[in-house]
Amino acid sequence: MRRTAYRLFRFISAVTYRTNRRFTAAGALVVSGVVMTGALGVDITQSAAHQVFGFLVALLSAAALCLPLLRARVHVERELPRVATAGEPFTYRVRVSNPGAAAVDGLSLIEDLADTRPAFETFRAAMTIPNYRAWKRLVNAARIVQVPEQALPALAPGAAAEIEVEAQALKRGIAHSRGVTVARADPLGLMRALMPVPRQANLVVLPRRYALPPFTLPGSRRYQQGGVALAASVGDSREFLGLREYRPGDPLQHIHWKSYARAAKPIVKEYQDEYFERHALLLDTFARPGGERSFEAAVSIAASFACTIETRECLLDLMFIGAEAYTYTAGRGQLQSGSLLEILAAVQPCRDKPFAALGEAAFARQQAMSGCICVLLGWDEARRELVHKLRSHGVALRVIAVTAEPVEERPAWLLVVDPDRPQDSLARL
Amino acid sequence: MNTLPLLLAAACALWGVQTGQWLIAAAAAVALEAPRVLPLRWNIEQVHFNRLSDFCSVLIVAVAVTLYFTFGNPRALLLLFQWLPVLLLPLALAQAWSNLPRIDVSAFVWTMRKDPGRDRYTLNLGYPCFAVWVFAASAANARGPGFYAGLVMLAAWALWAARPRRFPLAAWLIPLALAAGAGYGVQRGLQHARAWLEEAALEWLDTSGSRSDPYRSRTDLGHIGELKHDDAIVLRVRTEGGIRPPLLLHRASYNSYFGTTWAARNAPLEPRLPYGRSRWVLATGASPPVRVTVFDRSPRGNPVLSLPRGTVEVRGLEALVLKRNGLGTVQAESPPGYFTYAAWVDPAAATDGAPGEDDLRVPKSEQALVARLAEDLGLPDLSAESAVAAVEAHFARGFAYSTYRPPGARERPALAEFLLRTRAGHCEYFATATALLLRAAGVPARYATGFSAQEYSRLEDAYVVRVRHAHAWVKAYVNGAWRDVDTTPAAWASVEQDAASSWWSPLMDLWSWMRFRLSQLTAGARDEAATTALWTGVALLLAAWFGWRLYRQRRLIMIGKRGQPGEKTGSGATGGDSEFFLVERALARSGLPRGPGETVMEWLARIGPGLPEGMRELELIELASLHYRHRFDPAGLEPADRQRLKASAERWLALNAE
Repeated sequence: MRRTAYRLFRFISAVTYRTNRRFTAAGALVVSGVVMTGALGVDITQSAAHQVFGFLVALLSAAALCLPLLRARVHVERELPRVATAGEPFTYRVRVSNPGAAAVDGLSLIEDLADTRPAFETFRAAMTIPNYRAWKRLVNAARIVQVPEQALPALAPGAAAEIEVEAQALKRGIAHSRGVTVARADPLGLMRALMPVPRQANLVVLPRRYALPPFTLPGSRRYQQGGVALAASVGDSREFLGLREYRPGDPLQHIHWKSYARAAKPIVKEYQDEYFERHALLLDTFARPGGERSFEAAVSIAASFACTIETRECLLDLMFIGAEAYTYTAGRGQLQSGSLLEILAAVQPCRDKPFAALGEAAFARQQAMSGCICVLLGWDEARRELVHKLRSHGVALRVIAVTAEPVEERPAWLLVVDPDRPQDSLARL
Repeated sequence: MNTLPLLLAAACALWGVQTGQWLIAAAAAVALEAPRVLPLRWNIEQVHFNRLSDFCSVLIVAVAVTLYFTFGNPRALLLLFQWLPVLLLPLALAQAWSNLPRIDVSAFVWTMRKDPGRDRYTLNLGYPCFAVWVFAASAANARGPGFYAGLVMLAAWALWAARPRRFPLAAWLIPLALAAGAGYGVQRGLQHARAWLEEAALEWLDTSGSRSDPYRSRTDLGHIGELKHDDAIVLRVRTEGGIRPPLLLHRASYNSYFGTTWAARNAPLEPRLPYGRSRWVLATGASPPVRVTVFDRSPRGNPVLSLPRGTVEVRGLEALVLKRNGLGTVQAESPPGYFTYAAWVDPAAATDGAPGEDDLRVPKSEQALVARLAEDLGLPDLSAESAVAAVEAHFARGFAYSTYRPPGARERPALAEFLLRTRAGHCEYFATATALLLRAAGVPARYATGFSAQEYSRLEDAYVVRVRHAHAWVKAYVNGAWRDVDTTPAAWASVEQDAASSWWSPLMDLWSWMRFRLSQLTAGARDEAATTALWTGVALLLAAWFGWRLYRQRRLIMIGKRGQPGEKTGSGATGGDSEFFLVERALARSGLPRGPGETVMEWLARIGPGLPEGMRELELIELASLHYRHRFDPAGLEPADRQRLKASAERWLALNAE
């Protein structure tokens, strides 16, 4: 039964989509008039509605017959930006030119975004009683960007024009655009001829980020004055400080032979070790089936940390479990923090691995990390266990739990973030 | 409204021409176009549009229900569409007179109001309003080419606004002209198709089923049989005097049989009966007639009357004209709906004319069969009276009633089967066989169809005639008078009742009774002119009350000539005439101005300590609160408070101005 409903809804949404593209507002009014008078005018002796029906059908046919004559060639150059931020508008420029010999008018630009209708499994999991309103909500929730239709100015032969398109990024993800379609209205103004221009492009929508109050990273007991942006290598580095007298126990390879020859006593080179901080950002991707809001809030919080922490002074390891255990390092010589945001834009909840995989990934690197920021999706037994184990290994922790349910016996060092008001909760960091 | 100037007025005019309601059309046109010249608007918000939309929906449902009970389908639907623009006028007026250019579609779709995350669509009601007026004009059935011409001109006018400008005029005119021509062609085509369909598939068009349509003047054997399963009530009959059940109500007679069809040949529906002193006279009778009252309903208009034999007069029928054919069918010209009439019956009166040669003709296919049977019964030697008696006796003995069964494709001719082998059938077989036998015996006979009133209903206090009481019998001309000869076994009604009634029949009867009573109550509403006047009066009262409430709420705004909210504020709606402004100016002149973006109360709190002697801060604060109410309270100040504000301000100014 659900498969029939699914097919029916797909059909209805396809018809609606095609009608919206094909008919102008006046055309839509004429179509509804055809339907109404068609129903009313079945008995032609009782009313004159069949006259209206005949005339409106003839109007639509006349408009449809004009359509093949309207297909003018229009060149379109569009540059989608590479990134945008969820919840915020973005703009880009489109340049259209008319290479033909005749002027064109009544043009609109429609962006062909990828189809966001859900697959059958998602549909079946999402609703118990299929109804069209829930279907529409599902389709709308899967949209990543929304680009309204833009009217293009009239183009004289050989002329070009540039317009600015204002679009809205709705949620994080990767939006795929198949190209644009130029629509041209017929002389009656009822229907439009559609001329598709294929231009594949991707747009990465970064997760929404929140402003974080000033906070201290866990485990940073030493503060390097002026930062250590001097060395080019990562991890331990030995900087030559100077020469000093040999002390018993110095390794023989540090002896500076030329000075030994000059001074007639052993001289060794002195090095100073620089230590870099390496912080871990642990993102819990084990979301419950109904916990999409918490998951999005957790990703946004992780993104806020990733772009706030200065990676010139330390390294940041982003760890999460996806198809496998992923670790991405940002810092000198490694990825930029912008790349971390793009990675976070594509993170999906992990449904097939056990929660223990996160613990294993954390312990695998716990020797190297100075401190760890954990962004968890709740405060249940397994997560308590993970935090306890990390603490017992001596790792300094900052734990944030994103959950809407109240947490009993909340320890003082745990920050609970409400997924509906993350900015307010983060202010208490 | 964003329509072209005067377009809506033209649409209202078209509606007025089609329906004849000039007053309403003119008033609506003026009300919808006046905002173009009057710089007056109401401050109507989205939430008010929601309420107006709900009000209009309730109004439409109420009117639809009333119309359905008064007129029945399909006329109720047409009337509803015809009056739809008037029922939606509150919404249209609200859009025309408000300063909101577009309204959210959630006003019309209730489920959208509950969904906060949806996309927002807004529209202006101008062109939808125009479309509704034009469609409503089409629902009124004024004939003539004027409507199509008006439709094309209005559509061209409206499309003028929507066309892309760069195309040459010819590129717009040619498709439009082609569409107009093609539309006209489609219309003629539909009319021809209907005429053809009427000829070819007659029963399919006759949706009521129980009416034998005298236009067709034919009935097939089996037509009445197919009605036997239908339990719906069609007539209610009240008798007086000596008339007792079963009463045969005659609707149509036929004189010519061929194949399996009876037809009425050479019997057109003329002439018109004379009408005098509120009654139609069909014949003259000798003895004083007895009254039989019939309550009937015709869904499509122009009904055929069900009359007992010997009806001499028909009284109390609201019809323009009554027509009769030579075979006894009487048809009235009246609009669809419930109707009632009284048939004055004198059983001895001669209402049908003398028989013709059609009444004696037996078709070739049945001649052999019928002649042999007549011989067997010895009919040709008998007199008319005895022949009838003999035929009745023959059918009463050895023949049974059986319910109708549609014949298969390759069965033998049904009449022969009935007469010779099965000896069982329904009323049409009995009547046909009787008529042919009598004709073979030399007695003129006609095949009569109609209803049999037998069932008395205590709920209705009348005889209730159902569809399955449709019956066929024979009219035989004996001794100079036509008489009813019914050879169907008398138990046929109870057999059909057992076959057709089901457990929900009492409910259907109750429903039918309720509709009938409601129609009786609203019988006065059939007079359309009076109802129009009544509803117009009600609408005017409502509009006046609504306008008075709006005025009281001070939602009136004066806008500039270009439709923008003007700087000059009038009639105190935004409180721009408050005297507190003079006080503020006086204080500014004395060196204590109000900062930009500073509220009045903040300002007073700031300057309070610095006020010179004699200026009392508390008085200023009281003035300020009155001023706030005057400027920002949607209900405005009471007249007494307004006076207080004025007086206090003037007093303060008098005391403290240098």
